[in-house]
Amino acid sequence: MTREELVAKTNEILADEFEVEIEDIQPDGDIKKTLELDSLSIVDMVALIEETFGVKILGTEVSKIKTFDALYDFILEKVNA
Amino acid sequence: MYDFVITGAGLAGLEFGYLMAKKGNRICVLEKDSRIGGCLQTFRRNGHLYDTGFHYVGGLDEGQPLNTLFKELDLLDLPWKRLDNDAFDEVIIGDEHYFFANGFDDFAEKIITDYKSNGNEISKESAEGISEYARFLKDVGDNIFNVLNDAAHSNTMDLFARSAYQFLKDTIKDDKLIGIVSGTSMKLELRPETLPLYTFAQINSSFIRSAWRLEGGGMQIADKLAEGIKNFGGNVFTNAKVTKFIEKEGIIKAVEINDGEQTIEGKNFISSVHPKLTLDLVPKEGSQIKNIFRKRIANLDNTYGMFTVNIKLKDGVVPYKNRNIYIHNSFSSIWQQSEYQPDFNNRSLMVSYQAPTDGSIFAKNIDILMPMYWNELTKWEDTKVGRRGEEYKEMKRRLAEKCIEKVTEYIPELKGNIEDFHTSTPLTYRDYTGTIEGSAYGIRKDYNKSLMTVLAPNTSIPNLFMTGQNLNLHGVLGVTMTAFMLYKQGNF
Ligand SMILES: Cc1cc2nc3c(=O)[nH]c(=O)nc-3n(C[C@H](O)[C@H](O)[C@H](O)COP(=O)(O)OP(=O)(O)OC[C@H]3O[C@@H](n4cnc5c(N)ncnc54)[C@H](O)[C@@H]3O)c2cc1C
Repeated sequence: MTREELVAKTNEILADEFEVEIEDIQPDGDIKKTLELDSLSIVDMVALIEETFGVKILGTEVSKIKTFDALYDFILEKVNA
Repeated sequence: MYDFVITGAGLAGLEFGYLMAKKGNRICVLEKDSRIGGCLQTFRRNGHLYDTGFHYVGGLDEGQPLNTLFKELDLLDLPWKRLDNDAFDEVIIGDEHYFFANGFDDFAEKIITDYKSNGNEISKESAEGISEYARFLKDVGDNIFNVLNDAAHSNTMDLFARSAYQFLKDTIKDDKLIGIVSGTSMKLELRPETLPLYTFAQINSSFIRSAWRLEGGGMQIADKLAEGIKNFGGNVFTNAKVTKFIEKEGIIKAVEINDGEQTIEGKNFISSVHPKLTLDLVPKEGSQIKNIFRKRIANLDNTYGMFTVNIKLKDGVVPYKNRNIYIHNSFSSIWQQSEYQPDFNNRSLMVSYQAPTDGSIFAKNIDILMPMYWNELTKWEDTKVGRRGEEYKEMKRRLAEKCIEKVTEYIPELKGNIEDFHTSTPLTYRDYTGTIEGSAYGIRKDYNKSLMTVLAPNTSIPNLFMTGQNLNLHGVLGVTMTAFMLYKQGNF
């Protein structure tokens, strides 16, 4: 999967499931603010990504990720691992 | 206005209500059924008392985990009866018998001795493995209260993320011995693919400390807590089904009872019922609770349910045993119980004697419990209590007879001495306590998905909280822990 494809897929599922406009998702945007995440829905985001891309994510790993750009890189690394 | 409006008067709802009432809060507990207690209920038929869910607890001796918690809940003065120290549980596997002793060293020693006397050879490695296993359980239990101060306590979450089965493989190595130490774990769901080490270790640890029955049935726990809540000025209402949480301006303002018969306002709202049912009661429109969270919770699996046969015995013939008996077909069948076993012989059973209240050496009642699965019941899923038809009754009777026949092989005095029996299935539990598919222990925790299956008490609505067996740990100890977690972490 190319980075471009991955970005498109990620944005699509996040916008869809967290009920935000896809245009609101900006690469340098803050994930928590954009998706209105609280500590509970972070788990939902992890679950969604795990399911969509078939990867396994640890709680400690996610807490470090702040922006969408960082999230894409993180998933890409996992997918290609 | 109430400080806390609590949905469900099972163990969790009543315990949390009691703790907050004791602190001076105004409490209202709402129960849909005509009786409180949930899985602690005792029912009366022809003058006899029968237990439904709860049969025994662990760790109630001075200084042990449940003792510490029950002290705060003022539950220690109920008529607790300690099971035999040197054999609180008996595990029968094929024709081999094993006895569980209290105390971690004695436990390990007894398993090894019994293993040899049943004609098995034990390697030095496995003998050491059993001792290491016992030490590990002690350590896990010693640290049980860590989670009260910090829900995301890293040690706890690490244990939730580890496989119980893999741990046993790595530590004990011998498959037969793994079966034996797991032989009393029908009080959790032995599922190799999902069972977290935390669940397995915490529950087994508590019973190895000490094991207790309650003379006169589990209902006394519920009655004592409810009476306490009322004495502190609170209310416990039965026949009061919560049918809606009313959310306005981002918080819950009130609950609606019995489809609008009444609304009750409060500052904080606690739900002790299944999280999926809880979320279903919060209307989606304009809610703080995101659909993705609802979906995730709705998609979680639940554990198996339980078939129970409550047996009334003829007087003075069946000797009372101060221990439980677990019966398994083979060493390998023990970890296969999370799936329906088409061959009845392969199904595991538990036998519990009701403690005589009159000091008699004979038992008046025994209960047989056996895991039961939703696929055995789908035919009747749309039926209601008392109206499930003849075929259902016949299925229950046949299953009960098979259970009794099997148990009679080990307790021959049962033959001809059964006066009467009653049965219940997961459908019964579903319709009385509202648990999904009659699941006995609620949401199935999965070590592969620990973050997703171990739920926190808070929700996205700041004054709506959850507690009960679905959150962290099930069973009397586990549920009590969830009530204390909310009590300590809620910052109320
Ligand atoms: C067969 C069986 C045997 C067991 N044996 C043991 C044992 O030996 N030892 C042990 O420690 N544990 C045992 N357990 C587990 C233990 O009994 C439970 O974990 C515990 O009692 C659950 O308490 P709870 O408060 O979380 O849930 P429940 O007891 O299910 O309480 C929930 C309450 O909420 C009510 N309710 C539901 N929906 C609504 C609504 N909309 N409005 C108002 N009220 C509602 C229900 O009627 C119920 O009273 C057993 C369980 C089963 C099923």
